[in-house]
Amino acid sequence: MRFPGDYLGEMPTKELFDREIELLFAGTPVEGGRLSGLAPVVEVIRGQWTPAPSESEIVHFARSAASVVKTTQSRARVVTTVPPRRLSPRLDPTWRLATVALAVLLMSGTAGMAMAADSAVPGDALYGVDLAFERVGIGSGSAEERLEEAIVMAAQSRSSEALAHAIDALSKQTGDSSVMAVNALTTASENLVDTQDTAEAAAAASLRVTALLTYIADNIGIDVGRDGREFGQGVAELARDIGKGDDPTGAPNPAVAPAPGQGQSNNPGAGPGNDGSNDGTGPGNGNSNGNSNGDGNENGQDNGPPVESPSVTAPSQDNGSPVESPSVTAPSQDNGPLVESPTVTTPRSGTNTEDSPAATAPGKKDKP
Amino acid sequence: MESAGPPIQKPMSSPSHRIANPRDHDFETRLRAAKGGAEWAWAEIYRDLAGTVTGYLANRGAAEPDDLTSETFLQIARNIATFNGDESAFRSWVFVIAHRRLIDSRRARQRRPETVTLPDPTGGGAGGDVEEEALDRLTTVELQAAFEKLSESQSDVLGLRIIAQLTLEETASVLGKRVGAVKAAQRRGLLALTNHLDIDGVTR
Repeated sequence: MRFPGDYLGEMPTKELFDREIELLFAGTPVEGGRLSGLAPVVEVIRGQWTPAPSESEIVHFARSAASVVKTTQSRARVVTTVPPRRLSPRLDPTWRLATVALAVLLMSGTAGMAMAADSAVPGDALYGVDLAFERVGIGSGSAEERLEEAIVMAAQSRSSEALAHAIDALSKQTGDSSVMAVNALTTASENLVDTQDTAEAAAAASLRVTALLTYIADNIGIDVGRDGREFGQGVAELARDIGKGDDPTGAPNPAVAPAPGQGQSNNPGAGPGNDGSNDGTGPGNGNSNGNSNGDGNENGQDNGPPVESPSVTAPSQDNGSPVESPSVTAPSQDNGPLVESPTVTTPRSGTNTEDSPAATAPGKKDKP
Repeated sequence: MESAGPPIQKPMSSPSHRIANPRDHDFETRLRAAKGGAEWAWAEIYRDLAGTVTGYLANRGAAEPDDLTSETFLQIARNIATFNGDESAFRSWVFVIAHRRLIDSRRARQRRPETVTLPDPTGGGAGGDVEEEALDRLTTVELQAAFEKLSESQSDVLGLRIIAQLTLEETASVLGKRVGAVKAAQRRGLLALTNHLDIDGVTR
């Protein structure tokens, strides 16, 4: 949009000034205007204060992001669900209905707690609760869950803690892939020590650790024959990468092509067309909606039976978890409000720095 | 690669100054791909936005702008499934996340932004025009100082308008302010900048 100079003269001062500002920001300042002196300033700032990321940085981020997305996708579920809040027992003639609703509310309160705690990672206030729930059989407490926690920790730049957490969990497992993973993770810890010198290196390492853990989480359990070797090589490569400098470009990329047969994602090399119903462009939120249905395998995830992961058998991590079932099945009769519910979020969002602003209303500042 | 996407949504607000965007459909495709975990899409997103995010965070006094940038983008990856909207909305969303990360990290450090660590603007300019380099450097140092004298809301707004290159509406939505408030903040902020920098209309 351009505003002819003669037009400007007819505007009230304030609006005139606002126009001038817009033109300045658009890079076409008004000649001789009050702000024309700022034009070079804007230019300098835009030219010099926005460092373009290096290609290697881009490649590395793209790799991590892709694996994070796939992991998140296959684990996506409703963390807390609040039953429809239209019950007003006093006015409602059907007391029985109210009682049932209240029971549901109470039940899902506990389940909600379990699930909120379930997504806690070491260091979170709720982590103790998570462990307690797991001891009584709510939430698997499986190695897989520990891996998930480690991934979150790594993404929080707690690389060494994350590795230790994962090693701790996996060393209790048997199976070739667990052994390979533990070896790789140990290598990674050793390499990590060398890379913590600068904040930049630490950040890069954190991304690499995330990638390694995600790869392990996605592929562990495939420990026979050729695939097992592939897994071993994959983790070893990623672990070695952690010791490298800041140039992940040349590194092979096992994370993109997970070994065949994995049970949780049918999107290994996902192109844009691969996401099917999961693209979220339909009304509401396709992804979490699909998962909240309890039986909703529209994503095609989890189409491999758990049989395929013999060493870390934690099918309960996936859609059919006993933890999820009470509150997932309850609201599934009523998908409408659920979709709009702001509580729909990805797993592991229980940390204090985590926030998932509602995408459709970015202006809402719920964490001022 | 799938080309037939769903109908393109109408942009929330039309970015007036960013390079006129014949890429709306591209963005749609890219977003879908990103949601499906395609690396190329994430590479494009990062290439497009990482620089401005880092710049914004650095300008706003982040102690570790690069770390915060990584965190911001990882969070974007984790939450991409919850995002629906056009490119303009996406940019706003990215900066909402960056902004919150910034606030969280400040809170974690329990201190107000102090010194701004800017990337070395003249980094290794092999024997260029020395005078011009000196001028640029001076400008940068002065600018930095001038920015630090602005009020919090003025810096927020000017950072988003100048560095992040968001529109008025996008800036308002990131900061949770009304457009009128953003306008007022940028009027005052820019005037303050001119004063601090001692610029009068015609420089250079």
